[in-house]
Amino acid sequence: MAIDKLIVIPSDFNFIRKVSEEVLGSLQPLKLGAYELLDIRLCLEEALINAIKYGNRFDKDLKVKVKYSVEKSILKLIIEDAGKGFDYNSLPDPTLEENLQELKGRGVFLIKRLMNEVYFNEKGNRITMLKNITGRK
Amino acid sequence: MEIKIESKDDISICRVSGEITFSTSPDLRKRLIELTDKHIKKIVIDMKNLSYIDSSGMATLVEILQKVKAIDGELKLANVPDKIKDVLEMVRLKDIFDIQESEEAALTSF
Repeated sequence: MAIDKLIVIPSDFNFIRKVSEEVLGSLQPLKLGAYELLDIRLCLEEALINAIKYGNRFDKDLKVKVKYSVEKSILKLIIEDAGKGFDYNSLPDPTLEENLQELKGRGVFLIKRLMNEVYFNEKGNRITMLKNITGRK
Repeated sequence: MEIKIESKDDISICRVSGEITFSTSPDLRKRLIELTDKHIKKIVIDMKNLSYIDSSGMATLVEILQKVKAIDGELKLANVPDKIKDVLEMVRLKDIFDIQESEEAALTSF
C-alpha cells in the first residue's frame, strides 16, 4: 500500500495532535505494533514542536509542511518550517553527564535514536526521518 | 491527562494517567510545584496509567526533581510502564531518577 501525502499547518501547537492522528491513522492498514506507532508519534510530534517553537517561533502566519509517505516498508516523514534553520551539528548530547539535568535538548536525540535514518537540509529548517516499518516489536 | 494527589502521612502520591505532553505538562508542573512550595519533601509519581511522554514531559520531571532536591526532598517514580522506561533509559534519565517497581516499594523506600 503506497501512501504519499502533504499536510500544511499554521505554527500552532493545537495542530500537532491532529497531524499525528492523521499520520498514524493512515498507517493503520499496515498493522504496526503499538510500540512502533508510539515511536513514530513521538518523533513526528517532537519534530513538529521544534518546527513551531524554534523554527517558526510561534508565528501563526508561517506554515509547517508535513510530508509523509510509505514505500517498500519505509516510512518517510519530512517536516519543514519557514524559519532561519539551525546548526544541527552543534546540538549537545543530552546523555552526557553534564547535560542530564538540562530541561531541553532531548527531542532531536530521541528522533535520531528511534528512527533508522535522520537528516537535515543544509539550512536546517527541514528534517527528513526514515523508519523501516516491517514491525520491530 | 488526569492527576490525582493523595497524601499519606508526610508523603504525597501523585497518580498521573494518560499522556504527559507539550500540552499537558504545564498542568503537571503546576500541581507538583504546589507540593514543593508547601515544602512537601517526599513525593511519589505513580505512572501506572501513563501511556505516553514526550520530551516536554521529561523536562517537567527533571525540573520537579530539581525543585524537590532544592528543599532536601526526595522524588520517586513508581509503576513506570516498560515503554516509558525504555525512553527514559534512552536519554539516561533512569540514571537521575529513583525508579521503584510499585507504589508500595516507593513508599517504603523513603
